[in-house]
Amino acid sequence: MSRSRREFSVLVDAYAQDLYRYAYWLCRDPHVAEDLVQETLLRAWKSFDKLQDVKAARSWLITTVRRENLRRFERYQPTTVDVDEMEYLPAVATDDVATADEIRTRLASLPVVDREALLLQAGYGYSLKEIAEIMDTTPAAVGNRVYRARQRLLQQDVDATKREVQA
Amino acid sequence: MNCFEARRALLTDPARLPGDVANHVSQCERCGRFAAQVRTLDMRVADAWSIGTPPGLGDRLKLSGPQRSRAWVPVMGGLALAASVLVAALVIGFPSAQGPGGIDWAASMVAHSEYDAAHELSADPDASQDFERVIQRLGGRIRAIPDGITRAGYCVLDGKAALHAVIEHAGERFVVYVLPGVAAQQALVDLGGWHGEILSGDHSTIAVLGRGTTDAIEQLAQSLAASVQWSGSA
Repeated sequence: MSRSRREFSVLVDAYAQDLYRYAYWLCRDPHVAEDLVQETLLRAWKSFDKLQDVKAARSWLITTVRRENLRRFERYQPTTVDVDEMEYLPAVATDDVATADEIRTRLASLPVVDREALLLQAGYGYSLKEIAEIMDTTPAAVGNRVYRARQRLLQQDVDATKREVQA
Repeated sequence: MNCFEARRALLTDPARLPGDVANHVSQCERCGRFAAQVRTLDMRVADAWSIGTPPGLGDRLKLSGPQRSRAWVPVMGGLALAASVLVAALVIGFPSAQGPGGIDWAASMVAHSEYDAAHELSADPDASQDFERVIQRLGGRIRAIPDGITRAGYCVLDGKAALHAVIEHAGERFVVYVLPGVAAQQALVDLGGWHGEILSGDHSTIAVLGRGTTDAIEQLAQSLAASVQWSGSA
């Protein structure tokens, strides 16, 4: 195996799953997500020497996935994603399928930037400052986004409980 | 510190609570319950985020990576010369389909088709609807949906969103790409065992690639070019 292949293989093993999950939640289409990951890893491979710091590398890759996704819409307005497009969701990695489906539907109903900020925090464990760097905004703006997202999701819990009681 | 401030901090960054907030939460029963709710919510969000990855993702990525990018990366000195000779030898007698950005669309499409071979093999009963849906979401519309579509979906080619479809036509399977807003140079493709035609208009580029005979390619490409309309086109 050539050095290039070995390096690329290391990148794929280390990051493909994490990047795919993020890409999927950005575009909500498994084929596009896979393409975004491929484009990102190819860019990473060209900059392999700069990616020795694992933590910095992951942030760089996440940012690159985000930029690749935005490039898809350079000339076209992004279309609104409807909740009924959840048919594209792959299998869930949890035993509690009903809860995961329910929360995914609720996540899908959030504004895109709020959802993205929350997933980066709750899914990846990034700080407000790190998310701000990825999303090219300020930590305060990220704070507002995750605040709104959690507040709305918790409110939906309350609403659902009320509906159950009324039923 | 009051309950309002504590709750705001809990909703903003529950994993990194400042000391005074953590103290308040540990002493205030209501905020303690609220903190537990937020933690449960975050666990559910993390579970929902952790979707399964497609089978074979890593293997497909590994197979595709370095070879594909070798065609893109500018190489220095003698290697660059060798690569140029190789590309010239592969694209026999025809111009490459380079766009204004210097992108070799033919090479990119062939690489993508090789990479996404599964797309070519399996048939999807909803492919015709997907074909129309993707064209619409790319900003176009289709006058007549072609017969024989076996797969259709989005793909990203050199950063551009595209339709990637497979159409059975005249007894053969052809890979079709439709790229709105890309004006690639018109070209015939003869690259890595793939034959095809790239047609370019003011509003899009349409490519048809196949591995067999080339007789049906032109007919299919022309038919698609006449069927797809973009906003702003006549």
